Amino acid sequence: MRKGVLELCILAIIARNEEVYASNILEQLKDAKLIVVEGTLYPLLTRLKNEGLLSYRWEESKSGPPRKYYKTTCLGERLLNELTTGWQELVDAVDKLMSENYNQKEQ
Amino acid sequence: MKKTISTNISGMMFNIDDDAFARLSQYLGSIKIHFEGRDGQTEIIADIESRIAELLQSHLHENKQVISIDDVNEVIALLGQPFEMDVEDSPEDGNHATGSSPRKKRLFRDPDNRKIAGVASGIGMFFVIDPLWVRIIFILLLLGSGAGLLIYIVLWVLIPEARTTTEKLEMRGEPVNVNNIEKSIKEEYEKVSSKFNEYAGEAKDGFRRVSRHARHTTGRINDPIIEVLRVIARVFSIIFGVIFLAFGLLLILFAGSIFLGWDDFSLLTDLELPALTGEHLFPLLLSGPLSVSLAPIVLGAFIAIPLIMLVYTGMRLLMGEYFRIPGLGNVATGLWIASVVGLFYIGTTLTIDLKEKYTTKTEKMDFLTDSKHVLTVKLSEKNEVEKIKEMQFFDIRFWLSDQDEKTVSVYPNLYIEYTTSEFAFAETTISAQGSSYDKAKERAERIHFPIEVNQSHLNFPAWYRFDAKDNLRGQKVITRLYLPENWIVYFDKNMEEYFNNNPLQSWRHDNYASNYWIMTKKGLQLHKPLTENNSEK
Repeated sequence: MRKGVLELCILAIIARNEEVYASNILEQLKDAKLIVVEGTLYPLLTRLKNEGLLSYRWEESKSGPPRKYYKTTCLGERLLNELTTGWQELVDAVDKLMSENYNQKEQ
Repeated sequence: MKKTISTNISGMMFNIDDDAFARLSQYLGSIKIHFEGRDGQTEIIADIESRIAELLQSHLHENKQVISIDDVNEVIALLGQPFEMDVEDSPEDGNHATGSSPRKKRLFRDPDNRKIAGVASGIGMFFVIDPLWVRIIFILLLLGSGAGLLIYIVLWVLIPEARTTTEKLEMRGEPVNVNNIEKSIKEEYEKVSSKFNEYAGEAKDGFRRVSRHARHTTGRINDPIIEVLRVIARVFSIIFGVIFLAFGLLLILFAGSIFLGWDDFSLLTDLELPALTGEHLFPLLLSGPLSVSLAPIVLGAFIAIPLIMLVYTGMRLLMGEYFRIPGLGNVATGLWIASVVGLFYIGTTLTIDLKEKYTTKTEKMDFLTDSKHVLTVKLSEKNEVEKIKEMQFFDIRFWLSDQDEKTVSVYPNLYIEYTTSEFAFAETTISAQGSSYDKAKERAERIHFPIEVNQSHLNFPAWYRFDAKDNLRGQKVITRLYLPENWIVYFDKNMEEYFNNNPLQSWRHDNYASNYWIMTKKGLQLHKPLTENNSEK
């Protein structure tokens, strides 16, 4: 069920910020407790990039290895919109169902 | 105190403890294998490495310059094990996460258990037999016809080496899954850490204080000139290794054929030298029981050790450190010097025993006949001595008989010479050597040589004999038969063996026996048989 959710979140994080690199994404994902280990992110990033949803550019870093700064492509934006809509519908539907369940139990 | 290694992660230099390094490379190895064959695998790995570098960098500060195992463990915990990375991943992940894709077993050379190139071990893995048997077959083939070497080299070239963990698992026929990969990487970790212990000396200094931002490649072994020289040195060491090995093995075969009597290679047919030397020749030749018991050991060591070392050096040149036997050189040198000392002792006792020489007064025996009669020379003894061993030692051919005691029987020398005197005569001299003049004389007098002159007959003993206890100490018997011009001598038929088998080359005359010979100024010449000559005419 969670399949696709992480991709959605990653796209959302990247789209929200101008440009981000992996550590920023990780921070936010971990804050939201969406991932357990950092290693999970990298295969996903690569796949999104290969599907043409993300692009990146290199930037030198003063305190470490060069960083990849990601941003969403037009295609990525479009998919994000679709997914967001879909996600919203799903959440509403689930919410509704759950609250009905709750009400029934109360009675 | 800990050893540190400098390593390059994602373009950054790190000084890292060797245990931490081993852990990290094990981790990276398992990640690589995990993502192998996936879309964008190199990119994923590069990204992860870059993240590792970043995280490690954050562990370092002014007072902490070296990455420890704790730092590495922390980073690994943060990034997660390879299979954890897949939880949310793509549809294809079922393959890898649970991933027991039973693969076919493949034939590889096994670099982990190799003696030379891992051919035998690889074959053993493939057929699930102990590689020892494969090696034994190779060695038998090598000794049998030399084909073993050729087959081995061909297989070496044809069979690829198992380099990656996946290949190693395929070689063993184990399914390639996460558990097995972890297991086999752990096995390798032991090896890596021990190897680093070995070579850590190289990285000792110099790499301790590398600035944080140093990105240039380390100039450690990448110098192309040094690389070229190294390759050339390797080629030479292989060439010399092969030469040493070939010569060493050949000489061992040769020495073995002589000293151990390996029949197929033996150059001395019929003569069983080991039995001769041990039982007969050494007691006969050497002085005292100590020398006799020492001689085979000392002589064996003296010859075998250099040959073994020649082979060993060849193997070392071919295989480098893999074939190093610690301390072998010192032990071999020590034993060889001991053998030289032993030989010196034996040689000295022998020399002392040969110090003085005694020669008997020449005994003159006249023939009581004149030139009208033919002289006859015949052997006075039949071969009634039972030969138990026949030996040839330099120009002496002798037998050991065991009628009552060990007796040495040797061919005497017989020379026929020209004389200006009126009558024919024979002279015999007997000589021997010893540690003193008296001892030499006693020895000479113990030589049994019953030569007889009886009117026109010379009864010539087939052998002179002496007790084996007397040892071989220059005992020699020479008989000279002096003939005036035109005297005729007939050699009896029973002398045929004496002439044919005489070790003195000049005496090997096939037709001396049963023929008449006449003395001329130029020497002895064939004389036509009187009777037959007459009847023919």
